[in-house]
Amino acid sequence: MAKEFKVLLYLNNAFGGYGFEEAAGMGFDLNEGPKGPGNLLQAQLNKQGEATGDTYKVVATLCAGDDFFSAEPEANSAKAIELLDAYKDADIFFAGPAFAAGRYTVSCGALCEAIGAAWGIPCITGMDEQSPGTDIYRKKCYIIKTGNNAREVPQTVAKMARLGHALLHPDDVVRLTSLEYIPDPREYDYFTRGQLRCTYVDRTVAERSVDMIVKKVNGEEFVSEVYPDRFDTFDIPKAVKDLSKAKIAFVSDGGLVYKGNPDHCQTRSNLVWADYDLRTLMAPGGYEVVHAGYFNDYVNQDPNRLLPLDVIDEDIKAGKLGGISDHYMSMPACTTVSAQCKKNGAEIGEKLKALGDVDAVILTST
Amino acid sequence: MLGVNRIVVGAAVPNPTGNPKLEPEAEHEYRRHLVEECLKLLSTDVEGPTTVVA
Repeated sequence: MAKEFKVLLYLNNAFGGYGFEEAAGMGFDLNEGPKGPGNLLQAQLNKQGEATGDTYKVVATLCAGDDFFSAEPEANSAKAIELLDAYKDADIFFAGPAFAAGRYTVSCGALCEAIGAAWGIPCITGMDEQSPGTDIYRKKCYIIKTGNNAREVPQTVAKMARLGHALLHPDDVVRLTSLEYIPDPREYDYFTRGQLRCTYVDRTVAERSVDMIVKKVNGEEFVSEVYPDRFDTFDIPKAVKDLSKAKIAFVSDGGLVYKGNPDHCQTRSNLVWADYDLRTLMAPGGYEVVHAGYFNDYVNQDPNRLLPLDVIDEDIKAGKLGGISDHYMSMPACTTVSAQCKKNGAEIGEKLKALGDVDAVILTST
Repeated sequence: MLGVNRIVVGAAVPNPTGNPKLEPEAEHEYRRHLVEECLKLLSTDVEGPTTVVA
């Protein structure tokens, strides 16, 4: 049955037509109907609606200055929801597109997250991959991939409209846990949200994998079904100047913990780390291995096969090395997701820094 | 790999700093060699992720 969908839009000072930096401090201004790129958005949505006989109407456009909104994105999102209360029967919310703008992408992302959570309607914006808003909000709302140039408004708005229409016309259940409809991120050109899509296929994973590897070997193009995590790059720590005065600390993901595993580390997908006294742990009967990812016997027979303390002690005695910290940081990690490793790693780093006397770390990994 | 900047390749997953197939004395020498490589790398400035096969 044909339906008229109500659409809400958020724009900043520039796209709302209020002015550039001189208007960036302006507070909220709520307008009836579309403004700026909202006219194009409405036209594109109606073009999409032709196929299903539906129509779309941008019922209101909320505007605010970039400086104003991004100064307190969460508080301002809550305020925006109050201001838009008369329109809370809207079917869909759009913000931007914000391209690569720092303040604007953060504002659009915060608002999309808040409105999606408050009203349970689809929220769509558009950003460049390098923008600050993309990293913070890509998992919280739908973000169409854009370049970093505002000249791309027409193409981006068309993509936002196409995704919006799709979200309002679910044609299948593609998420088994929540029964949500999630359009294909590749087909609709938005940043993946870290959700698992259920897809019906007529060939087994073995057949598809062999196909892909044959294509890869032949140098042909293929599309992976899995997106690898993106890893950060780090500033490289400077070299230790004088080892004879330096204190080293051991860190390991190999699962060596106190006998009896008092911190209840898990053998798989473990989420916790612990700070152990190295000498207590390395004493006979002081340890055990909690790690389902490798054959533990060799380390259980001799923990120096994971933490090379015997050799380090000889180096200290010979004056080659300043010392070894009493604190050994252990985080058994077998199939632990990288986001948790990053969080725990940061905590371990803070702890080591707080000790105040550790100059370098040897991290052994299984 | 994973943005780690200084890597010394260990013996094997179940025994990164040892080798149960060696006699105890030889295993100890092997471990000494690995640790020396680690300490050498720690005291060397590197430009990017650097892997040493010991």
